[in-house]
Amino acid sequence: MSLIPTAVYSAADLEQPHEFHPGDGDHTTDGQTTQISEVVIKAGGEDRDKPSEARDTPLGHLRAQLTTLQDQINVFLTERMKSEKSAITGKEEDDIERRILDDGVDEDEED
Amino acid sequence: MSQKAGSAKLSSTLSLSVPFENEKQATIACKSLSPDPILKADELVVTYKTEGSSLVLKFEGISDRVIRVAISNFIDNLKTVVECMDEFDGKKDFLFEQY
Repeated sequence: MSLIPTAVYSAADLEQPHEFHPGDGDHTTDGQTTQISEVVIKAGGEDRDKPSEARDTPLGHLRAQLTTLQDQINVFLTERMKSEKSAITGKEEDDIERRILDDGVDEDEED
Repeated sequence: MSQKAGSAKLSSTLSLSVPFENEKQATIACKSLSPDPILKADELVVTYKTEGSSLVLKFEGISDRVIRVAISNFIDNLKTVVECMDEFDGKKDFLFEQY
C-alpha cells in the first residue's frame, strides 16, 4: 500500500494553483528545512531532536514523504516571502528616489 | 471541524491531503491534531475533516508567512502521530508497570 500525501497552494496573485507532490525520489525523515541551524552544525553542535529513521512500512514511508512535502512547501513559501519583501523594498527605494528627485526639482524652481 | 478567524482578508490557501491505511487512522489523526489552538485566530483559519481514509486540511491565512509557520508546525505534529501509529497500532496491549 502506497500512501502519498499531496498539497495545493493558491493565492490571488497566482494564475494557477501550485501543486506539491513528494515524487519518486528517496525520501527520508531528515528534512532539509527542519534541521537545526547550519551555523550551529558547523560549530560542532548536535541535533538532539533528530527524527528517527523511517521504518519500511506504509506509515514509515508516509512519514518520510511528509518530510519531503514539508521541505517543498517551506522552500516555496520562503521564496514567495522573499519575493514579496524585495518587491516592497524596491518600491520603498523607488519612492525615496522619487522624493529626493522631486525635492531637488522643487528647490530649483524656488530658486 | 474548523477554527475561525476574524474579518482579516485570508488571501493565501493551502490544502493538504494525507492518506492513511484506513478510516480509523485518519479519524485518530484528525481528533489528535484538531484541538491544537490557533495562536493568532484573526490571521489563520484551519479546517480539518476526513474523507474516507484520508485526512484533509485547509489552511487559510492572511500571508505566506502565517501559512508557512502553521503548515510546517502541523506537519511536524502529524509526523509524530504517524510515528506513534507505526509503532503501536495493531500491537497487543501491554501494561507498563513500575518496579
